[in-house]
Amino acid sequence: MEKIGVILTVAVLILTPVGMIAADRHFASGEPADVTFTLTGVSDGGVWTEEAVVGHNYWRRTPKPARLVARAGQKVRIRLQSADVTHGFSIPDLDVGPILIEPGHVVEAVFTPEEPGEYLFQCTTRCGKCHEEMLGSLVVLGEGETLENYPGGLIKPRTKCLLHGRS
Amino acid sequence: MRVMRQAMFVLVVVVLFAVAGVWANGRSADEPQTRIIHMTARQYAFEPSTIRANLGDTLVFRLQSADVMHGFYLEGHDVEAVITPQSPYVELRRPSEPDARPQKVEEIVVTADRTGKFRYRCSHTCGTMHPFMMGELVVAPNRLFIASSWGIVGLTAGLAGTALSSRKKQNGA
Amino acid sequence: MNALETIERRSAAAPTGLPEPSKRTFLTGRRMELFEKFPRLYWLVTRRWFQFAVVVPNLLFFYAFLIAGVFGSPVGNRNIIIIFIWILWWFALITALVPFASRVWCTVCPLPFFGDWIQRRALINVRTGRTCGLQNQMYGLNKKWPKALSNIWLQNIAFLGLCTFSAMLVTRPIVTVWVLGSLIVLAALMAGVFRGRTFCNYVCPISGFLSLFSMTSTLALRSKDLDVCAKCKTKSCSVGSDKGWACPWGIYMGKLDRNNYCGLCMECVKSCPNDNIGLFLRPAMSDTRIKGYDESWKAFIMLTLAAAYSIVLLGPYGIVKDFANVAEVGDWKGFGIYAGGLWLTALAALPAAFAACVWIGRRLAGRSDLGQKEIFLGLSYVFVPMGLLAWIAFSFPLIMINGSYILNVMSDPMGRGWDLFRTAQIHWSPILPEYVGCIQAPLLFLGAFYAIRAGYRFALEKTGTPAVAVRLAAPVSILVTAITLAFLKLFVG
Ligand code: SF4
Ligand code: SF4
Ligand code: SF4
Ligand SMILES: [Cu+2]
Ligand SMILES: [Cu+2]
Repeated sequence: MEKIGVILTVAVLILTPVGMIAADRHFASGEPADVTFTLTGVSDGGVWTEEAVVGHNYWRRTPKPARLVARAGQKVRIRLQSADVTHGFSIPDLDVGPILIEPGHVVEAVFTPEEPGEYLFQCTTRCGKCHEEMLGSLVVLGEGETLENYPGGLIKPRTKCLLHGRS
Repeated sequence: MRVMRQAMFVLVVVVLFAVAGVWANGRSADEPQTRIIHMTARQYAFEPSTIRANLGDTLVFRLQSADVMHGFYLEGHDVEAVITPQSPYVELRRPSEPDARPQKVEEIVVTADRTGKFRYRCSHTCGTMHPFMMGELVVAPNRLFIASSWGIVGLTAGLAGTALSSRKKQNGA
Repeated sequence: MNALETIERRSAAAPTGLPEPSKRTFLTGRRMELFEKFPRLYWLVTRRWFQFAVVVPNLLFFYAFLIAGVFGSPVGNRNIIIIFIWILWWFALITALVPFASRVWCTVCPLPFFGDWIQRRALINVRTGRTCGLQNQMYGLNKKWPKALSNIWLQNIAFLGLCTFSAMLVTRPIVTVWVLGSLIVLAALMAGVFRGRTFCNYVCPISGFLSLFSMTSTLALRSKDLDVCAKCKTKSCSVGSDKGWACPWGIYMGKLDRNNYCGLCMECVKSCPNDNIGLFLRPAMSDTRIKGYDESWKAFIMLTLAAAYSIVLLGPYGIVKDFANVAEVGDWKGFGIYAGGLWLTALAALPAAFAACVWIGRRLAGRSDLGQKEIFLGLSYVFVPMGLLAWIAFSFPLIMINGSYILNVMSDPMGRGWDLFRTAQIHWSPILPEYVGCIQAPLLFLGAFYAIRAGYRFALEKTGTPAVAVRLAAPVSILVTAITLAFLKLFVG
């Protein structure tokens, strides 16, 4: 009897996270694409980030702004989510969006950029003090290009938005 | 039997008080009018936070947001709207018709055709305190409040009455 | 009898008005014994694996909630830890478990799981042996909890402190994780140092209101026949046996006359050699004795918190929400006003108003033999039914307005785009929100009714004369009415 109890307890302790990770993998795999990004909008500090913005780090720091990199002709999938309020996503030059991103939901943008270049995306729904600063870029590399030898140079990642807190 | 009689007595007193209260205060004197309400939503409150109206009034809501996207759900009046910042339009949907397409409107017109307190709540997640972002529309005469507050006074009186008429305790203390 | 000392104070009062014949119990009035009525229930709770079996599922859920809180969305209403704990669990606890099933939550609570394991080195089995006069082998340091802390003051202060930050607690998953996580760790540490469930008895913040409000419950575990307990040689319920652990809450059945500090773990039912413990169904609001100022203050705190939450969380006042939401707004001065007001009301203003009412009542009654303390304690019970019903009234809108979130997070517990049961995308849809007031007003009525009635009953018991009793309790009943009116104003006015 006691043994069963110990086994059950250990099973609960191990299998719970395992099951949750498995479910997360399962639901993260959507439409097949060549590259997949997960982009989270954060209102405080005004960033699009590739970092996971979750319970334990949201209140501690402003995450790193994202620069996404893909190759021309690749099918790009961006999983969009919000860590706080409603944001909007759009890449005007690629005719992507605007897509509303409600907190706690995941929406996807799937497209195939053919032309190399650096494409800016920005937040399309006012989301707080740093809304205007909420920019990021998708770099589409052409044949033989890399980030290092990118012709003409890339836009500097902007400095942090200094207006913290709510609008 | 005694307990039943006492309970009946208390009940009768409560009902009498409630009915008397509603009878004395339960009518609104004012003519129905149209009220235009310029409502600003912010994290996490509505301004004005309380609206007082009379039965039969027409309420015209013009909604705007001071910061991020909010919602406006008016209890009991089948109204739910999304307020987009920097936009004069709101997207109105009727919760009773979940599949109908939301409409873009500039103002929401509501008839105050029932009395009581109706809260308007944010219906679009807008940050931490979003679930508690709300305001109140109070349509007079607020019969539930009048009846219950008079009733509670009746309850106090009735219980004192039954206590007075209760039997002496033999083994008191 | 070593183990009994810890509960001496709690059991000090002698039973009043016991029915004469063969079976003396602490329960007067109508009752039904469930173990006799449902032998299968008795069979179930006397299985060694019973508590383990009911705790493990909750352990799993809580563990998953904690993971979701740490690695899931920071958006509270899309994270299962917030929705399931602060809406579903809270609602079930306050509207059903406490009023109808006493501390049954403590039967299934996963928080002390690891502590018990450390102390017993057993999940299911019982160990016989000797530890400090008990008939069980127990591990850990087995220290005794200091006498000075053998009351619920610590709990009161800790609970009020925690609740001061509730605007953060109920909206940010990570804060809930911190709190629940610390409770689990603290419970384990304390179990390693002290004997029994000292954490539960004296520290657990949930325990404070469970103990107070379980007095109202229709369910009660009691000795079936006090004479059997008096003659009983083994006192196994209290010191343990080869069938069950010594009562982890330090209770001796022969003296257990209230629900407050019995965690319904069912160990005593297993160990009693005379089959003398019953689970009774009884009328609501049956335990009416408050036994110390610590318990009175718990009642003041609970009522104040119900009012404070009704204003802050359910009210239209944005500025108060900003005060309470200090982690985001950063207005420490405003937060100071809010917190100061809360503490002052709970610890000083409400008790002072109540004490004044008691004093005036004694004056009106004109009986010099009735001491202020005795009447204060006795009448402070009125805040128990009143507080409970105010909390229930506060909790109904939570579930009626935000119930649909439960469906959302069931399918997508972490707000990461899962859809387990195809309910993740259900639109937020309140259930009959305009009728919430029609539920709240009668609930407040019921609270006032039980409170005022209890006041007069106590007064009659003390004075023996109806006319004097009414004068003694009238000021308190007016206070109850005034507070109920204030709640009515908040909810439906
Ligand atoms: S007292 Fe607290 S920790 Fe202990 S069982 Fe009850 S709820 Fe759980
Ligand atoms: S073991 Fe049974 S009979 Fe003995 S004191 Fe405890 S409850 Fe009473
Ligand atoms: S009295 Fe019995 S059920 Fe209650 S805590 Fe003690 S052992 Fe558990
Ligand atoms: Cu944004
Ligand atoms: Cu909002």
